[in-house]
Amino acid sequence: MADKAEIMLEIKGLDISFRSAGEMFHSIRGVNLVLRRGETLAIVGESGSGKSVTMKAAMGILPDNARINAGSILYRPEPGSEPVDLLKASPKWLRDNIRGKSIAMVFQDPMTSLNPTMTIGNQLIAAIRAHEKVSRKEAADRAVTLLEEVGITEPERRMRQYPHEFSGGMRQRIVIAIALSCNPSLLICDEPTTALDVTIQDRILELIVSLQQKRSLSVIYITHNLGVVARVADYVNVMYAGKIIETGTIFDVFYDPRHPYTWGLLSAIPDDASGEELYSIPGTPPVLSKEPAGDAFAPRNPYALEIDFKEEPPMFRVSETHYAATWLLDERAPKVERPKALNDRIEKMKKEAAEYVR
Amino acid sequence: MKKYILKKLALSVVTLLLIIFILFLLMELMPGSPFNNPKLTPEQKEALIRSYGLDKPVLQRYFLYLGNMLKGDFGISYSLSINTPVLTLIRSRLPVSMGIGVSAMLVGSAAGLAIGFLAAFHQGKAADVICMIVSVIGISVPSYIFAIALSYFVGFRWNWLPLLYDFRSPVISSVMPVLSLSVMVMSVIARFTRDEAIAVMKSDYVMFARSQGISNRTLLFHYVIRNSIMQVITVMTLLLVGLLTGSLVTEQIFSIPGIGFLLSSAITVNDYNVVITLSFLYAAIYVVARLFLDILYGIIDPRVRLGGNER
Ligand SMILES: Nc1ncnc2c1ncn2[C@@H]1O[C@H](COP(=O)(O)OP(=O)(O)OP(=O)(O)O)[C@@H](O)[C@H]1O
Ligand SMILES: [Mg+2]
Repeated sequence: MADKAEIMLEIKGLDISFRSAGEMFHSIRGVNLVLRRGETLAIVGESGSGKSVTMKAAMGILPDNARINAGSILYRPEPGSEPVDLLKASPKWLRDNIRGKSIAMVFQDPMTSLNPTMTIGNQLIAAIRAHEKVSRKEAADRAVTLLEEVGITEPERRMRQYPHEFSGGMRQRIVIAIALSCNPSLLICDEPTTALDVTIQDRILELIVSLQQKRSLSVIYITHNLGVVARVADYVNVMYAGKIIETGTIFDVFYDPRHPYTWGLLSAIPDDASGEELYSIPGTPPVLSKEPAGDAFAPRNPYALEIDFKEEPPMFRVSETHYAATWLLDERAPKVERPKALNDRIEKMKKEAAEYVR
Repeated sequence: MKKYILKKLALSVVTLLLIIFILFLLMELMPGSPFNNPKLTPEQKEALIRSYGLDKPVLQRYFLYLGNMLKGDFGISYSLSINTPVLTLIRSRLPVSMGIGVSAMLVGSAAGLAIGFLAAFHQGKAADVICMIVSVIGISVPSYIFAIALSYFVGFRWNWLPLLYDFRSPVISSVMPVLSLSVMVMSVIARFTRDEAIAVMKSDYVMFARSQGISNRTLLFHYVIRNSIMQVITVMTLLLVGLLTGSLVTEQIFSIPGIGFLLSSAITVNDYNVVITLSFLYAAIYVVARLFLDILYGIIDPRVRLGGNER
């Protein structure tokens, strides 16, 4: 990756708390993240690690009880334009220039993402007319084209139907059509397939990938499913307790993972070929109503060092593209080997990939 | 949609028939008779009962009454106003109760909707807290307390408005009853509107619409109000039913010649036909209201209208 594309989105030191039931929860604790134009980036991590909140912050759609303590989200709407800090932009500017227009988001549950009392045609038209001064008729024509593009048959008739008349997979296609209605440059997919049947998941994923190529979109996938990541992403960010703890290309993270948490995630991928028992990371993520002492992952980490309980590890550089926040990478740390089962698994993945390429 | 309405209509008729039957049974069980004048000898009472046909079996009387009802004859009063047709008694009183009920409903709903949406849009802020305190007070304090307080201060102490209902100035004398009844309406509706609107504002589809940059105006009218209004209308209709039928206590406090007042008097003297007709009227209003709601659900919610089922 010598000639790198320009940076499109750069999140620096993002720090967010939530007030809930009179207590403050420090949910996002200094997230750094870089997306270059045209790339596909994945954010993975267990439930509650802060994946959705990070992206909602970028779109300015955080819930009212959220407080942004620090950080910046620099975004370049057009190639070569000056970056804008989305956290400092006015709500009106965000609505007119970013939301739906430059960045669009697809949510996890297509069953609840659509307004139940509005026809899907009207929802598409509302989305188009939110940013473009076109007549209803023109917007309706565009809507039909969009529905065709996402693979809805008989779009004219379907326009007049309500969400409950569609299956989950169909609804997600419609959600994607709405998201793409104003030609955004960045599409954020927040677990776009988790709520769907396994058979339909693949088709939706294929649809997103094909649309991405056709429209040269940059895409951020939020997911717990590392299988999805391996298929679609260029870069992976592993998130834990409100921090990115490992980042790299998919080759870095899948073939040479460095953080014990990533080891755990990789070991937990279901492997349908072998009937092995599924591994799951022991314990539960910390509740962030008080600051974890040292590394937030330490209590669940079988490889934790003494220092892990005292001081938070910085990001250690593994290579130009690969960084991980674990004291195991410190030069003073004892040498710790990845578990053998995981190494075997990585070898197998490499072999499969090689076959796939051939 | 047609089939849906017909089904609901049939159901309403059956409900009403059943209600009248149950009323007959209940009247049968009530102790005493309409003829309580101490001057009457037992023989005279017997004769009266026979002449009005009250000695016949209950089932027979039920069908007789139904038959007459279809002809628009609801019987006569036995004791309150002897031999006056019940309809005549009701006809002069119903408009008074309804007028006050509808006004209280309009005033209360308008205030309640405004307060509810205001609170929802400022959730957790001072405006919300104040609105909700007001609504809790309005819900938990019975409306006759407001009626008494109003009539004491505004009517008695300051003498701004007539203390008791006056035929000659129905509008002026309705102000205090309407106000005291509308507090409850306002509070209940404010509460419902707020909770519904907040639930809708937190929904995934509003989040998705926001992520599309949809304007606040469209969000408000096509998303928030549209999806929260159905619950609110349901509550409104049920409240309206309660108000139309007159408030027993409020009508007494202000001496309002309404049907609430009529009913309470009729019950104490076993004036069968008056009680049955009024109860039937209440039930009919309720059933019609339900029917109205069912049809409205059909119009507003496509899931009902199209007979679709959630997958
Ligand atoms: N509305 C809210 N009120 C209070 N806390 C919240 C709210 N939304 C999110 N949080 C906090 O932020 C943390 C991260 O939430 P987020 O939705 O980003 O998780 P996630 O990584 O997307 O998880 P999932 O995979 O379940 O979607 C949660 O653990 C929770 O404590
Ligand atoms: Mg999430």
